[in-house]
Amino acid sequence: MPTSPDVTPLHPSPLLHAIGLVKVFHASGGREVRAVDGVGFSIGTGEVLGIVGESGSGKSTIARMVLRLIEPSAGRIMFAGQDITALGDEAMRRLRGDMQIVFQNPHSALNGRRTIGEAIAEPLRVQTIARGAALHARVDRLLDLVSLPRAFRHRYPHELSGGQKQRVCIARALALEPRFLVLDEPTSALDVSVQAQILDVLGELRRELSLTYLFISHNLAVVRTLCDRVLVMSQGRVVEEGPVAAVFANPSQAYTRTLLDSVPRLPRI
Amino acid sequence: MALPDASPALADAPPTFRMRHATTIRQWRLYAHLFSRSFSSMLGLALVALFLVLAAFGPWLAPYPGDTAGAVKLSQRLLAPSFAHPFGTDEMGADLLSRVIVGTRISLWIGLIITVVGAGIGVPLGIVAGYTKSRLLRGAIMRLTDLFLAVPGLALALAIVAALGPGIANCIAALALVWWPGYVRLVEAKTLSVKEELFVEASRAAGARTPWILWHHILPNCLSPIIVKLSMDMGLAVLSAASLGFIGLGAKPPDPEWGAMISVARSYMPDWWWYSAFPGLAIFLTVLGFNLLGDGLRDILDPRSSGR
Repeated sequence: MPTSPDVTPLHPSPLLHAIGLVKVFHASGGREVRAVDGVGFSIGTGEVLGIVGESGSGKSTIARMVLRLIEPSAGRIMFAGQDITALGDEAMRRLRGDMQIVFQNPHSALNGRRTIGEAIAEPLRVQTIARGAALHARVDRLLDLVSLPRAFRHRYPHELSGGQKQRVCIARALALEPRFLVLDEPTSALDVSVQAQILDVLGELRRELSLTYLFISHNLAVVRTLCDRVLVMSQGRVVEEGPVAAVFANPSQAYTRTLLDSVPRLPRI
Repeated sequence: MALPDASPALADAPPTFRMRHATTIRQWRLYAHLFSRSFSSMLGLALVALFLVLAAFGPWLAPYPGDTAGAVKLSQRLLAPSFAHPFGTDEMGADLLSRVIVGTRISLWIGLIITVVGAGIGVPLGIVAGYTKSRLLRGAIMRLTDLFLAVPGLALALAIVAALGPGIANCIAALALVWWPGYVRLVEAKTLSVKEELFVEASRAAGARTPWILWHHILPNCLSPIIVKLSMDMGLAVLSAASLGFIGLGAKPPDPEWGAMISVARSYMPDWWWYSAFPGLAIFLTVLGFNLLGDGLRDILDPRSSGR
């Protein structure tokens, strides 16, 4: 595996390895915005890496770059030992079965004109994996997997609650049986009571299907419960990285401390 | 892995059509309810339905079917409206009611072909222009559209018919050729907003190719404004075809086409007013009907625009 000498992967064989990712957006008036500025990390198989940071710190840009939904301006992404940065469209398209994403806002992540069944079946159809009765059975199984009634396949997104929609999005992301899932703030658009349910679902699925997560969030409590390691980002750069327990117990950077202190706490009674 | 095996025969019978499409049925009921609450929408629907019936069964409904192909009955030239001839007769003695009824089919066909061909050209171009990343392609399509929009459609159609020679077929071809730019504009704008939606990105993340995304995500979300515009344009296309007929570049006078009838009738104004008035009324009611229908459709399909 060709890696640049200055980067030492934390895992002997990481599933995903990002090296020096840079994303420059060209704003109007010729200004350049460096949304992500030289970020590198690696995720071992079965691990959950959290990325935290305030809004605008480049978290979601990283999520999209890792899946090549947007092209990095510089840097490389290795997935399962393969450099996917230079992969052609068709090869990348096939690889998408291995890496999926759950978006922040389930309300806009589902096409309002297609039924839940069609939404979940979509990945299987575009990757020509299943059709007809086999497709029907797999959609049933995916609905079971996220604890939604099978009858929901005929419903439209507007008939579902936010939590139910996010379950549909998770089912859709799991349709291709990926190894790696990017979770881009999957709970922040949901009610607090529903957040916990979705996190439970994600935790269970990870154990059952031995998934690897890249979990992006600004909610530190969520990161603490779900993640093994955490990356703290500010203004497109990584300011701190380490195991969750260590970073939370003993933040070495001023920014991380500010972030931790900004979490409102209920006074003990 | 604790995936339970899917068992299709799990205790319940296969859902009936009504169960599977419960949402769609409910949606259509709501549409019907909202639509029926508006008087103008219902009036538009009634007018359009009336003309559709006339177009479908015209030859059987006309009281004097023989009069529609240029019969000459000089004894009853230019009779005023009466019980025998409710719309009066023309200078050849043909019953105007029969001619107006039979003319419906020609006018609606012309309108339908023009709008469908116009949309058939304009919608794909609009989707491509809105979705493509290539600035060159988008620029080329949109500038060409601007070019066509800059020239009044009817004037351009006039020039084309003049070049091709008069006749119904050439009139349809000319109008269809100038009809598409509006659809490009409409669909391009809608595509630009829909393509930024998260579900498009999700589809791409699942490995969907561009044609799939265009067909399953972009087009269905552009459909409501297209349907509204189609309805509005039907009326306008009927009017444009009649205009070409009126100036003698569309249908030729023995044919019972409304515009051509008025063209001849113009020299019998104002004494024999019914000759031009009733074909004119037919044009007026058709255009009004399709416009009211389009307005009503917009109110239910795109509620935000009406401030409801």
